[in-house]
Amino acid sequence: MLTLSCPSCGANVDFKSKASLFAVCSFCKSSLVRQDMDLEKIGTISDLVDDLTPIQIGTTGTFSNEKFEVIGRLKVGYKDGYWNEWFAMLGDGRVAWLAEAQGFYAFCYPFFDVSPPTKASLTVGKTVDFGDKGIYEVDDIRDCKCVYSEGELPFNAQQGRASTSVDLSGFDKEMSTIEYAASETRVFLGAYQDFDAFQFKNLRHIDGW
Amino acid sequence: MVGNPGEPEQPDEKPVDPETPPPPSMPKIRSFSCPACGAPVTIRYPGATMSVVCDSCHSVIDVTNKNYEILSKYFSKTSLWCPTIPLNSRGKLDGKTWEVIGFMVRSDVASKYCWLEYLLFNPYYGYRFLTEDKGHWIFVTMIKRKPDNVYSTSVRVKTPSKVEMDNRVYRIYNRGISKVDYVIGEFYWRVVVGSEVNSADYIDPPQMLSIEYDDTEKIWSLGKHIDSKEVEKAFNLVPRTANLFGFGIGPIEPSANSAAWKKMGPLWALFFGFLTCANIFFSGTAKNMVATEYYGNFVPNTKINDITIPKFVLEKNSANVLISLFAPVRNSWFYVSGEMVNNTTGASYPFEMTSEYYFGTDSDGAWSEGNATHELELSSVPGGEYYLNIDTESGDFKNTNQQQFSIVVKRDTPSWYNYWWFIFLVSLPPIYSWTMMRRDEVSRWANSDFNPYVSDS
Amino acid sequence: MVRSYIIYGTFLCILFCYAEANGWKVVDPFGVGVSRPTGPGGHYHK
Repeated sequence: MLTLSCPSCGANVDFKSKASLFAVCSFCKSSLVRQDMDLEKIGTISDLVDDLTPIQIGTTGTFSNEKFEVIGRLKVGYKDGYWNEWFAMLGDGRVAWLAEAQGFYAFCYPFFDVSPPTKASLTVGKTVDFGDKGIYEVDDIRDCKCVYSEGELPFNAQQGRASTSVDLSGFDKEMSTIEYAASETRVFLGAYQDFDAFQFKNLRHIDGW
Repeated sequence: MVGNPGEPEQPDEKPVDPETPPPPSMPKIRSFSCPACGAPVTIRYPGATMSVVCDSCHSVIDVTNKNYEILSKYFSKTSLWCPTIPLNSRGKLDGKTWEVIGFMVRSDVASKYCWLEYLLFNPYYGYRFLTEDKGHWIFVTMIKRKPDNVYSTSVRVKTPSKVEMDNRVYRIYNRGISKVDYVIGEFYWRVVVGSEVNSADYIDPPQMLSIEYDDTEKIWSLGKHIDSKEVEKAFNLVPRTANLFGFGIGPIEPSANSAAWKKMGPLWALFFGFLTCANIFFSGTAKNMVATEYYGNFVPNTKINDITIPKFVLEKNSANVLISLFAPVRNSWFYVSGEMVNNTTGASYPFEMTSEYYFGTDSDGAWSEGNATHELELSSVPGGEYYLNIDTESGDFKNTNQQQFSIVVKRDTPSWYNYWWFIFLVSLPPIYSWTMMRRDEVSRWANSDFNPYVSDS
Repeated sequence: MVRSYIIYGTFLCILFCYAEANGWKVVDPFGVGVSRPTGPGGHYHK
């Protein structure tokens, strides 16, 4: 783990994953970009509107027999709501994402062995062939914006970062997300899993529950 | 500090168990003034809720931002519908605690048939729906998976007649357009009174798959039957003494009769198969021995008494006996009465037999009736030496010359009498079971446009 | 119901085998078999 000092307030900022290039200082909410051993402040993150999520930074869970720990959060809003993408680190240092919305949980890994289709070629109901990973069907396409971020993240997740998120579903509980951001397009493959199956620990306490 | 994943868990780590929450405290509620009527409106789950209904004027308000835009005005003076489960009550269903946060009345646009829906919330598990349809309750979970079409066709059909998921085949029950008629509470989407959506329900009791779809998305959900008593217990409702509505069986309510028939049918087939095989075996292994053949002369249209047919041996300890009588009858009859007597014990088996055969022509053409040969079976005759004592009578013979009749006694012959009787007896309970199953299924499908118990004509 | 049918059906199967093995036949339980001549009654047309 790498520990650096916040250039704004001097507090310790932890980087648990080597893949993390961005962090939010937990004390002064400065958004920080890491360049090797240097941290540069690029802005501040405004307060979160409580959204009743049971996940928090530090929550651990299990997916396909691998333990993971949540180390960062990207909250994304679109015209009909929002969802959370929790940045997670696996035991061997690999990284993945836990997507969470309205009680649905999906765990997915970045997937590089495919050249993603162009955004313009996708419409709801179309299928995308991911080779030996199977054929996926487009469920929805949403233009979204980063509305909140915390912890450490693998890219510059400043508030207002715009992207287009395409959700696809495969056989059974398999899912995929293609994210079209300004500078890059990334593909994630994973699966939905029930809350209980994750065996979450260190969940956030929700008042009244 | 939680250890890195993969490291041994620290013993002092306290897992948060969503099932046993700490003493309940009030959730953070948010209040604002209704933009339509000014009355205070509270949101119990801000952040999760997108639209809320004002208690006093029933306007639906968008709460995603501080503009509080009105989604639909609904200045209803009185509350038309009262939910069976009050809003904000909590209950345990499917092993988890749920809070009722929203209530909707929806109806089918074509038939005006309406039902009630409760939106349930648990911050750990998300949302569920509980539907109430004339005393029948269904617990509904939205699913991300998609059922398969049973008939894969090249044409993409949004609502085929059958779908399959997890080795269950669901049959279409209803297809139509559902409309929101009435709402109270809060919702995680922008609910609009009067909004319509295409929907279809598929049933395989006690489960149901439902789809709601438009041009841009398809949402599948899985419903499971819940006994009304379970709902009453979960939410501490005043129990209904009986189903007030008495509308018979619900669309996915399990029927004990249908469940019984599902087992009775195969059992019947099993017993039927066994009896058939057994009968083929016993028929095949029957000795079918001729014990005696007797030819006697008679003068037609006279009586002859006390003919004794000489002794013969019946083998085996116990078996049946088949007596065949033949007489050359043509529009006449020949009658035998007598007994078969055991030479050792004196046990007697009385019998009567008639050979008669008639034929002729009338306005409808040629006809015939009867048979010159008459067979009679005797049940379980012990082995030993036997003889027959018979008297004969005959009548209506035109030719009165002396003629010959014959009596053949056979031992251990194959026969089908028992088989048909046992098949009949073994079929009675399944026939009853099938009748009861059908009664329930006819009632179940009575509200469906796809009722398989009604012919299309 | 299913349980009692299993018992009932099994009993019938055993009884059937026993009856067949001993030549017990349900021959004419209602006594409706032909005994005395009836003469031509209903005409069966060929």
